[in-house]
Amino acid sequence: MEYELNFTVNGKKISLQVGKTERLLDILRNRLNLTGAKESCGEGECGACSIILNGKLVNSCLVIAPQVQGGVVETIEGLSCKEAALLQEAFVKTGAIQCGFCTPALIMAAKDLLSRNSNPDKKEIREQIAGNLCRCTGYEKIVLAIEYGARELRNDREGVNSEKPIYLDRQGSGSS
Amino acid sequence: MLEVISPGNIQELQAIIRRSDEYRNPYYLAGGTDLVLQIRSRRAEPDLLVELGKIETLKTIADCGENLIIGSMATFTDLVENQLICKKAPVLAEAAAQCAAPQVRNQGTIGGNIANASPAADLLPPLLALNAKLNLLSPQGRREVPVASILKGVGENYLKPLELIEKIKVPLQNGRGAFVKLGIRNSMVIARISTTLIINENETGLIERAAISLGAVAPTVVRIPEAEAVLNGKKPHVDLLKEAMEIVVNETKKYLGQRASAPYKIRAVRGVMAEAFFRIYPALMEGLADGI
Repeated sequence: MEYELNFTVNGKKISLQVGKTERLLDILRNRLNLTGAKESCGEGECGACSIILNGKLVNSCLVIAPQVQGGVVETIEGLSCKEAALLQEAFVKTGAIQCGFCTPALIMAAKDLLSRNSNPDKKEIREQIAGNLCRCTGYEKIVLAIEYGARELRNDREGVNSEKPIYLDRQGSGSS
Repeated sequence: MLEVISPGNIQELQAIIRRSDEYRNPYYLAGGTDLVLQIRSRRAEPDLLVELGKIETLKTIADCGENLIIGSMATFTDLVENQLICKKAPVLAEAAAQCAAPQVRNQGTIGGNIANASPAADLLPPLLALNAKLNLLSPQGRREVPVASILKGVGENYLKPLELIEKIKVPLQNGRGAFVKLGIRNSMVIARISTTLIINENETGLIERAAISLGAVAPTVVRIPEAEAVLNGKKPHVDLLKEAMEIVVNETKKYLGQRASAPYKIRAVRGVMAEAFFRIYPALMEGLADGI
């Protein structure tokens, strides 16, 4: 408790006493009860703790308090209702969730990509999620989920009402 | 007791640097992707952390005529996305793009990658091949040195306490370059072997300047001057390229010695060199790469 940290989390200004080398991951989970970011490897290899800091996707296990000073943090808990609902639904509909441990980080990775590119192709999606490990699904369905979620978000923005579901063919690649 | 300071500009930083002898083990905190882990595992036990993220001037990338000037706090993502780097030092952008994953590229910095002095550092092979220089700032003032001159050994550098890598100066040249990295998959991997090859030809088609650097074969990233000398002043020909490749392989053998991975790495070096030459001379290398 030796460092006064002032930063913004999900739009809310926060002031906290934390350790000088306390990780952002621990600050979010233990002090702010924002448990969407998970700790898995703790070494920046698995991506389960991904959050958005000052507009960039980072591993919160590799960021310590002084780096967050005055910064803006977005976690999965801060997604807008619409974003959360559409991306969540995309992951559920495509079967991209099994145990769910990697999912919040994957959704943050997706959000980060979609904020720069509203219509990414499969290659761009794969490159974006290269730092997020999932030990359940084999990634095909996650790629599909992000493709599907991107479409739903586009449709939502353009006011198109698409109820057309996305189906998996036998090879696991998507068709709609 | 650990003290943490986040200077807001270079003047504030200089005031801290002047007091560097008050600390036993001062560290700069750049992106933190390596240092945060070192602190947690107590491989690094700083009594001073100077966090550099608030100094905006350390993040700029500029074209100064003869050189590109890159602030040491430019991230890997900054290098990949910067139009100047992509146009004028494409091997650097290529190497940055192949490092780790988006999360780490968003956080890791060029200055950190250099100071960390890993033999497998992704940006060091291109920086060495490009003859990049460092602008250093210390209590004694400023100095300019070649990147290679601060590389001491695995994870060790010759920087003085709190000597800051302020800028990286990359001389502009018109050569063609290739960066080739071999890892066990595309993302996240630490290079098993990486190379940067840059060839400048003069108007008569002779090789004027060849630069070959190799990562992950020696305690530091190294240039292979013996192979460069064979290429310089000659007309590119398949036998010449083969000769240069064999010299690279032989020099690598000296570095690798008897370590267990040597047989694998020697084959791998031949492979990455063949690919690098192929990227620059596809017609000459046609058919040769398959036989490696």
